[in-house]
Amino acid sequence: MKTTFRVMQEVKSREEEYNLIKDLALAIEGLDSSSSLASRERRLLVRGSCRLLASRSQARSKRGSSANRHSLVLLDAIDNWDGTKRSEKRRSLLPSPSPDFNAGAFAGSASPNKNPSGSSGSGYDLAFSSVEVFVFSDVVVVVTPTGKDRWKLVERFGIARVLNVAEATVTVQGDAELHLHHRKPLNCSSRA
Amino acid sequence: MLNSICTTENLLIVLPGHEEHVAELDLVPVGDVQLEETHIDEDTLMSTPVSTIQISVDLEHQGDANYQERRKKWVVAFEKCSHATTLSLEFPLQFDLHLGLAGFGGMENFDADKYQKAMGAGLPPPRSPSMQVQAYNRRQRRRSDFAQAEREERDWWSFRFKKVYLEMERDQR
Repeated sequence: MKTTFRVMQEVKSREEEYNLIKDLALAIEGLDSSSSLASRERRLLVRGSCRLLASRSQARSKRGSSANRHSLVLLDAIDNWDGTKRSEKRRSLLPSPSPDFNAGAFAGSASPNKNPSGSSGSGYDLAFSSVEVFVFSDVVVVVTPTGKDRWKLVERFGIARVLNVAEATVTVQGDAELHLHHRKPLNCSSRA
Repeated sequence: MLNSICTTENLLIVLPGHEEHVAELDLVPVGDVQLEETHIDEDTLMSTPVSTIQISVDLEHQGDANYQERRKKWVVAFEKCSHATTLSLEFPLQFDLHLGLAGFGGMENFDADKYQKAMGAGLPPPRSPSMQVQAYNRRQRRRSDFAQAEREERDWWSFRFKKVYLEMERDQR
């Protein structure tokens, strides 16, 4: 009886999750309305507001035969599991790119605040912006809010598969940053 | 300035010298079409540029006492997602991106088996409530349709229950 009840609750929660993702898919600008993001088999593992600190994009060199590529992916995974990436790394971010807080940052704008020099010494573009991240069982979706319950896919990696994960500790240098999250905006005019 | 601040609920101030735990992700962008695929096309994946990002997770709870636990939950979720990519590449026949390790749990044919059994017994095909709306919008409703719809929906929920039960059982093993 306990198991039956537990399974019924699980079925109900999965249906609610499925409906939530269907609504989400409709609210994301840049996602084809006929896309199959919503699927009963695709589970939403976690979602929430995150701060995008840095990003970089790099083309991969051709890696030889298919068998070799298989091995390389597996080696990457073993490497991560082995602890080289599990042990936390320490990094420093370059000074905050802009001493003043631009309007985009206050509005939680989709456009990242890029380093004037283009990239950091480590090859990263510094991009301090608030994003909403949805981690599914097979893909991650990164969006920025464009309005109340409206989202826009982040360019380059809005929907992506995860190849590697690592934890790191970074030290923020330079100027202070302000980050404002407006998931539940208050109506300013009502206070006036 | 004041107007801008009062329109928000959460304000995070990051001071210089502040140490922050971040997740570093290697991401390969996928298109809408690829969302439907149950297996990763390795050649497409390998020829797509990788984006590496650093993110500080779960901003809304960064001041909470249990933030470290929440952060771990995020990392575990990212790792599960990453595992799906790795397993799909390494075991393209056994690993289904939607069903997980379906081939290892004997669930790969669950839907097809149940469907065929229902059809073989002369029963109507199971339909979810949304599938019924689509089906009945295509033709004019008759009174007998409602009885059939009720049976289809009941069967569909019954299948769904069994499938979730098997998945839960498999995950516990």
